[in-house]
Amino acid sequence: MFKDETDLEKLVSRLNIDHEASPLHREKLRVKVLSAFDEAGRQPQKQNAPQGVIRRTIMRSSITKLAAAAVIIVAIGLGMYVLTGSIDGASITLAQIRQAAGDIDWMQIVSGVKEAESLWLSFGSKLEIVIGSDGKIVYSDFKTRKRFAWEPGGRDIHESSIDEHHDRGQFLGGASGPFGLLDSLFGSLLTAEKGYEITKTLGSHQDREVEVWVARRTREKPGSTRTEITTVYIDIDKKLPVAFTEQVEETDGKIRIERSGEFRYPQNGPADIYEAGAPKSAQIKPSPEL
Amino acid sequence: MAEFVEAREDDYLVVRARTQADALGRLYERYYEPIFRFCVHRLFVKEIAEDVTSTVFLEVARGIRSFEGETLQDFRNWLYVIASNQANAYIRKTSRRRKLLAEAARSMKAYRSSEEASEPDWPRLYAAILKLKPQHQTIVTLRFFENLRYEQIAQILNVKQATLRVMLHRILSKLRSHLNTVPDGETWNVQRRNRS
Repeated sequence: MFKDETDLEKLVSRLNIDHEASPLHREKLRVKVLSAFDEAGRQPQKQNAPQGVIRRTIMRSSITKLAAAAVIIVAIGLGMYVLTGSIDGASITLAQIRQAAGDIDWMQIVSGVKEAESLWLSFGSKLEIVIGSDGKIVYSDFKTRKRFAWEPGGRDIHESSIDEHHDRGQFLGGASGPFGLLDSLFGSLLTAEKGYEITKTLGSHQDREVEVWVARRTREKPGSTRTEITTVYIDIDKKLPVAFTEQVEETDGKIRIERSGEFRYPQNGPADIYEAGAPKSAQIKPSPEL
Repeated sequence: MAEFVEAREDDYLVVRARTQADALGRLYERYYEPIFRFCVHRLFVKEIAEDVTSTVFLEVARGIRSFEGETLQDFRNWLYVIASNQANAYIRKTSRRRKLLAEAARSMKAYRSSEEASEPDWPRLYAAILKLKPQHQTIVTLRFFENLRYEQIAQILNVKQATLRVMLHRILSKLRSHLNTVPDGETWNVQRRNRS
């Protein structure tokens, strides 16, 4: 008999239990598991499809301008792809990027050519705050499943529930953190077959020493050639992307900047929609759409 | 630092396993034995433990694409949740539970000295554990056989640590009482013969 927890621990440790696994079962099951995995992959996904679906979900959200953010995040993904060791002499390793990205809670992405728009993400708290170039603020809390929206000049803040089945019902379309997001995006977009030509140089960005990664791909159509150039600047000390630009070079050689932006990694972000910029006088009311 | 980097690499394995078979294969290799062992502790008979282990990993293979966890800890917790549910589903049928008890009784040793009799062997302890509620069986197995910490068990069962401590205290009292009433193998067989 045993007297207490410690006593039972000792008793169990003295038991002679045969739990040696059969190598045959182990191997047979391995084959079955991998086969079931393949089969599941061939069937259409009913929910939580990572990769393409996440990307499409983000890209479709024109109201909150998440499309812009998606492009930026793709750029981070590009950085990840580039750093998988496919280029000789990479001084920053994928493991370093993963480690640095794993420590991130808050990320702020500021983008735009003429007018800036801003996206705040908290991976720990599952918060997504979009501040559009027109000043509109949408504050989504995916833990409490509440969304608050404020229009510039508005007297009210509209509160609504986040519908799980809606396009934007899941934090970042279902990705649960920086790894999931990056993997989903670069996994589907930035495979070698996509035809990117990638170069790497050392440089500086806002007085910081950075590695400059340039991915270039040319798309030819009848009568025109279009070259897309994405540049990602990676902070050598912090091992994190700090900025990006996306340019297009047309047949006539003219280059125009499609988009550019910066990544920031603050300790904290807005605790509520007021801290995100909504006036204190605005009152929270149920959304009229409800 | 090297260990930390390795841990992050391992964590990334879970994310990769959503889409890549080789990563899932590595997770399988890593967790086959702990899960099989857990099943043996819950189900006593190795053949049954093999069947349930198979069900667990096949469920993982079919569901990992929508698994939201990212770290090895998330994945391990998920595995134990599935394994506990499958083991509970197996023993929920009375006929199966009887079969397991009969197997335990067949394996029981006859205690010859009072010193030996003061300490139950594995079949006797198993028979007493099997009398507990399924969730309580899981708690005992995770805590004493898998040596998981309170924090880890609380995560797997989705309860607060304080609640878990109180539960375990009560479970141990019941287990002690069940151990007093579990017959040894011979008595068990006589009881069975009399019933039939």
